[in-house]
Amino acid sequence: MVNKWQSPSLEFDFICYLFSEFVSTDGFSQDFNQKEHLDWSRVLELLHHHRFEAVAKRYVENFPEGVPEDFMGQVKATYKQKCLRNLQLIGYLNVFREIFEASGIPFIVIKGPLLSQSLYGNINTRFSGDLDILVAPKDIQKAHNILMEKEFKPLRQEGFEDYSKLFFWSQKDLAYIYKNQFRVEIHTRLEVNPWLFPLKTDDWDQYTQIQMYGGKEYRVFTDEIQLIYLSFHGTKHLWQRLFWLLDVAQLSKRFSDAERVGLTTLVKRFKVQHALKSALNFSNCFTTGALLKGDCNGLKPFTSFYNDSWTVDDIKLHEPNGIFQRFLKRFHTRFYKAYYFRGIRVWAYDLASMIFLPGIREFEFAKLPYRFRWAYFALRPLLLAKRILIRSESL
Amino acid sequence: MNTELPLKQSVVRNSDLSFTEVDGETVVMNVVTGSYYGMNEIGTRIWEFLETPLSIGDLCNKLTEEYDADLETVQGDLLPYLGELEREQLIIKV
Repeated sequence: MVNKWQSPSLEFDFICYLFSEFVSTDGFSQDFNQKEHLDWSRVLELLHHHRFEAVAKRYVENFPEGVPEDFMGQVKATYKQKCLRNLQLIGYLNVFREIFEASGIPFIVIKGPLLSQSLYGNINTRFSGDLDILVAPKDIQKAHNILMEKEFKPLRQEGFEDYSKLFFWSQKDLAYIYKNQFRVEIHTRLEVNPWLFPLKTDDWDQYTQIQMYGGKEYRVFTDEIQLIYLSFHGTKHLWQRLFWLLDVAQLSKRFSDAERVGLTTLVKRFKVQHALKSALNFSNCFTTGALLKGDCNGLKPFTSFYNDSWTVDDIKLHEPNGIFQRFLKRFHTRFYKAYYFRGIRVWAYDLASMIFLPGIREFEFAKLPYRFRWAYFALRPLLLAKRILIRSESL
Repeated sequence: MNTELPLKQSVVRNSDLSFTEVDGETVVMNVVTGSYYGMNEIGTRIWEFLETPLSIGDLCNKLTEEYDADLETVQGDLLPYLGELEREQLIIKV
């Protein structure tokens, strides 16, 4: 095999090594063979960017020889700081749970420390900056009211009070800050465009399960939906952070052969084959434990980009001018072509909602007074133009 | 002020608190007060025992057995410690 990919840096190779060792073995079985040549300050930057602090901490505990004291100290300090942050998030999640349960508002926890607990058996491996909560659209007004009562401060307050900005605001979900340190985002959907990730609110119950933490019950998505969502999310954001791929690799190891059939059915139903296929192919480059290639073939817009003989050395992510980054740009373009392939439905939805649902459909509390609803017709094209512009820039 | 708890008193962890293990120590957080509490190895063991309600007398016996110490010493160290945990609302009486 001719290896056509060139390594952008030894430091990135080290991050890839951490990934591979962490996922493939239960610990670190062998040391990185060129550690004496590493630029440790660059390694530190990459660790932070890819959120590999916890993995790196385990590495330095296993192989401290030759690791600079300063680097080791910084890794441990950052690790501890992020552990405390996750602990704080779990504490606030409990506060949040009590508030919503007392108000009778069902909610689903997305990602965050609970995902760390679920995937890695502790809250100290996958670090988060905030919490993401999903509530049904019908409950969003009630949720907002109760959070305001409890002194949560909305970060996009204009959305509730200034209707003229509602069009732009509605593309985002609600975010609040509590006691100046706890940020929670309230979502009513996993993806803004319902055609991109068509999981309907009515289906949430079917695809959720209870996760226990600290003796408390939390509702989270099933492993199938979490895998699909993580794959979708990572693909959408071009796998900027390698840790997202680690999550996919870790989660995909759970699926038995029988469960893969169910997963494939679900993937086809949601039409997210492209995202899952890319995630699994990438994660397979790091581990032999992930799902087999070809499990989720249905729509195959990117097959020509994949090479079954890829190895960890072939994955070069987020390095300036790295060949893998250039590959990703091509991949991203293809992704959006697939997106536009289904664009007719996307646009039909927008058009129909403009005509038949002149209010922002899922935010009943933010409707314009009826006599002003004509304004939606005039401003809707501007919103669509803004979306197109954003997409163009991202390409 | 003597705030030591009686031996027959049962106590349990405050279930509203979140905790995790960092570098071999248990760190407990009270989001209401914004305070963190670190526990060493023995503190961590006590924390583990108090996952379910346990009388202080029984807790003393367990620690005595586990650490091969005499009961008097364990009681002398444990009672003020539990009193402190109770004041900080890390454990509650049941």
